[in-house]
Amino acid sequence: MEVDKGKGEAEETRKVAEADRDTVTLKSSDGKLFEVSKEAAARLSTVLAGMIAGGSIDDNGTDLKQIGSEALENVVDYCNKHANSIPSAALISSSISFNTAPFKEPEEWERKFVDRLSHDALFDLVEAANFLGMERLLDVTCHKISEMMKGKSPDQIREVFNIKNDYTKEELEEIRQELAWAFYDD
Amino acid sequence: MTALGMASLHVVLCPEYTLEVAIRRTHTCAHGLSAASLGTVDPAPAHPHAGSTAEESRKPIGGSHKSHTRAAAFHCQARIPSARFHPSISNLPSSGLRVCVLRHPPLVGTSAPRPLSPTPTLPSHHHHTAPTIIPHRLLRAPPRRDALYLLPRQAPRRPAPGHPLPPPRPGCHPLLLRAPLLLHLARPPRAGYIHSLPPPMPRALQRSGSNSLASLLRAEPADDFVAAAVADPKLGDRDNVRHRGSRARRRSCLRLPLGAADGCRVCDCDEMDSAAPAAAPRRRPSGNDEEEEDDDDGAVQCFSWKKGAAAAAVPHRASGASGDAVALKEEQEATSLAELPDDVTEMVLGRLPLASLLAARCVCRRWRDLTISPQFLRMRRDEHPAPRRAPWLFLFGVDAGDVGWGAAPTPAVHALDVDARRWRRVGAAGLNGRFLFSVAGVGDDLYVVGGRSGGCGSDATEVRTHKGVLVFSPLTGLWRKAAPMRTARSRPVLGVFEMSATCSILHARAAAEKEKHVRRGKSRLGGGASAVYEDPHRLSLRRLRLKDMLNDDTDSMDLALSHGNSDGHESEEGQQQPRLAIVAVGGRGHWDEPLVSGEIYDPLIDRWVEIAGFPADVGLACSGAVCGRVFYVYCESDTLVAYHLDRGTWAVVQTSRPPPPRLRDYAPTLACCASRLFMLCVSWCGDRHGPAVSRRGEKVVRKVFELDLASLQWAEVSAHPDAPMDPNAAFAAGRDRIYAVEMFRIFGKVLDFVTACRVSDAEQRWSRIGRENAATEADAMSCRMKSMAIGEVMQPCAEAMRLEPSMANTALRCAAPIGSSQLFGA
Repeated sequence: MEVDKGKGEAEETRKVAEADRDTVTLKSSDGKLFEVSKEAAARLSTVLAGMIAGGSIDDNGTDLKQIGSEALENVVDYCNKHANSIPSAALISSSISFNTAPFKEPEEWERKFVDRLSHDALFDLVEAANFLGMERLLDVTCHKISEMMKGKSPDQIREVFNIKNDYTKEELEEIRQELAWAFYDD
Repeated sequence: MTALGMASLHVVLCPEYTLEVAIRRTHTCAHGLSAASLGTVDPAPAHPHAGSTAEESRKPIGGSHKSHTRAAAFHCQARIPSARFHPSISNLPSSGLRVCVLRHPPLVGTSAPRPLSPTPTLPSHHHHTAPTIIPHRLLRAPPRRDALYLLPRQAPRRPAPGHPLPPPRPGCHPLLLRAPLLLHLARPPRAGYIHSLPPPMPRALQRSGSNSLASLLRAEPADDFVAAAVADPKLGDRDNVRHRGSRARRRSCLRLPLGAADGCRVCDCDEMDSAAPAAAPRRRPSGNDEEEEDDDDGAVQCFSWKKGAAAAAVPHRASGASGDAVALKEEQEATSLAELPDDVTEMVLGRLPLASLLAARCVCRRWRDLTISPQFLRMRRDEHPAPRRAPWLFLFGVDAGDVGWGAAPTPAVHALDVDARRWRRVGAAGLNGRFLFSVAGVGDDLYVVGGRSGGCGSDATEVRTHKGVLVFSPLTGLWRKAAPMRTARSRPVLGVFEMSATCSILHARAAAEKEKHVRRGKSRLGGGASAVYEDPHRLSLRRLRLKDMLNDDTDSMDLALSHGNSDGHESEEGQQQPRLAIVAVGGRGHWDEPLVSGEIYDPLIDRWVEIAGFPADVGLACSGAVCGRVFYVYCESDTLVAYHLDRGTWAVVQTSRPPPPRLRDYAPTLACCASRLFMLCVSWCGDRHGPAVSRRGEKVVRKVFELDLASLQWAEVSAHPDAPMDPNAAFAAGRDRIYAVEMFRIFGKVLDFVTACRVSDAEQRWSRIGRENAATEADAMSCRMKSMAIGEVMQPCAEAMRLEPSMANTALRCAAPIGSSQLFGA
């Protein structure tokens, strides 16, 4: 799936893309090329769907400068493996109420897909999914993150997710007083 | 200024208008205002001051530049100097972006910061051009979490029904007078960016007044836009703008067919006109300077927030920005959840259960700000209802105080996390010593209705019965006051129901209005429905008027009146957000007299409206529940009366068999669960339906009866395994479970038992919740709790709730909110 950016191979990719328009070539921030089937891309990502529809797909590799190769690899992986089992993103978003559509629990394979990721990879994947408008992937990854957050104390959350505590001591005390009843660790 | 996605929007306003631009959901941009790019007034030569003015007025109001966001909603205020207003909406993290021009006051929620900055006055170089906004149906949908709201400040009131529209002022577009306007910005992905336009819409769409921005943008070269194009030649050939280089950068790539955007990668979104930097001093986040350099390269980097990839993609970063670059790099070292855009963070946080959410709130300021915003709470409710999650039970009680019987009762609120099976103590300072109130859960909030205070202890302050309504929001931990009832009540019978367009509150309201007009004295003799409204032929007419009345009275609030909206998308949305209201009847008044009056509260308009009083001859109302469109009230005389919420009439339900016999010492409770109506009371063992004579020595047990709504027969459904120790056990119905809390003192120790009966099971059995730790937690909660939990006097129908010291410590009430599972589940 991953193609080095060597000249010859880029040529080859182009040829392939011309000959067979079933795939879309995506270029990550660090210049790596990935191919994903057009159908899957259009189904899963509203952004890619828009680009495909708008004809702004570059055969040499559509620049996705915001997405690192690792995350893009995961995205492509997700697209290729699982395109068929997912309702089309375009379909979902064509309904205005998609925003309020209740979330469906991730399926088993989706769970596995996100479970194997490291924290960093997971966050990158969230951003990539966000950027590409991949509703379902975004849902699944967000779900995963929130699962990781469940049942943890504020301190634990800060530690796990590497978040700086920007409260002053007094503020923290105050907010703890307010919400103390809800903590698991009180 | 980098942008995640942007769109330009052309709003033509008359000069007098002030637009308040509230942008919802800024993204991670740490510097206060990604909304900075809002309200960019087109710095066309015709308006030399426009740019700077817009800049000035673009202060984030209520948001500080240092911290991320105060609330997740930003207000920008921009006086629109010109006839043309081109706010470039950029940095919109999320999508599903809509632009709405609303009437004042803003509806962004009560906690939304109010505009602070003075509106700069501007030289008026107006060009009154034809509007490019396409006017639209009234905006009725509730505020969206990712909408951009444009709120005209002095929008004229809607004309009274029947009156013609006022003549348009010169220079105004007449349609604007009918604010609100609503623009959809295409239909971008929820959290993606606006790059993905749907395929071009047919031209017919724009002609027919489609309000999607996509069609709007495409309409630009069309006739509509000619006038504007004349006024500003730049606009006319917008489609070519991109080809001409950076001068026109501030035009959004949105307006370009993506294919034609040769320089436009996915992210080419720089909207700042680099040709006019002086006119519009940049309010860019300092970390984004490197993006500026990129502009010349044609490959514009939009995603300033994107740490790793963005940094990597800009290897030739200008050395001048090295300080920032270092900072950026450092951040990059450690992947942190804090770097996710706000909307994604919200998506994550929105899935948390209540307890975790509150913990997350303590993590950092940004999270707190995100999670207390009304938009977030709404999103959480709508998107992640999580039906399987168990609700929380909120137990409102009164501590006797450890200073002895004489002390005034201290209210206490305890929350039981059914899922975690733990009791938690909630601050009850907001209750202000009230007791004998009733509690109902509506949406996210708990409403404490009526009640009494004072009258206890040696100082013997006067007993007061309250009209007031207090609202506690577990999600924000805040207490607030709602509009008071019309009548002071203690221990009213409450029901929560979903309003429909035909709901009686509207009728009642019309009645009230009418009454006011006709100047008739209030006459609410028991039994009668308001006879004025019995004529079905006048109904539809009335309804129309009612809608108008609501519109007029409630300003932006009617946005949420989505039920009245027959428009496709909006009504779809509306169905997702039921509009709940409270009905309160009965209770006892100032002199402890039983009341028969009733009223309905609509949280949206924050108003109580009187309804027909209930039949006086059935005795005091004991308990009520809404089932379907009917509010059932079980009365002391074992009569079931029903108030039809749509028709606004009371009727006595004639059950085909006499109601089950019950022990008078134990208050009966009605509960509606899974659309079935149950009555819980204490009865004798065995299935006898004889007269309820004293049967001393016979075993009693708590029973659940169900009323078959078709045949109107009571049938025993299940019996509680425990002996009924607590004559004032509290019950509450969740989605498919009835929860019961019993507390009693035995051997000086308080025991509490929380049990639940799942009614959807074939075999309805009570099971204990929180057996593991509820009691110990209860002890740990406070030692006062112990003395409090005994001798509860929470009989809604108790004879004369005199505040004898020994009883004053009681009023225990369980308020498991109706619909609580939607609420507190996550």
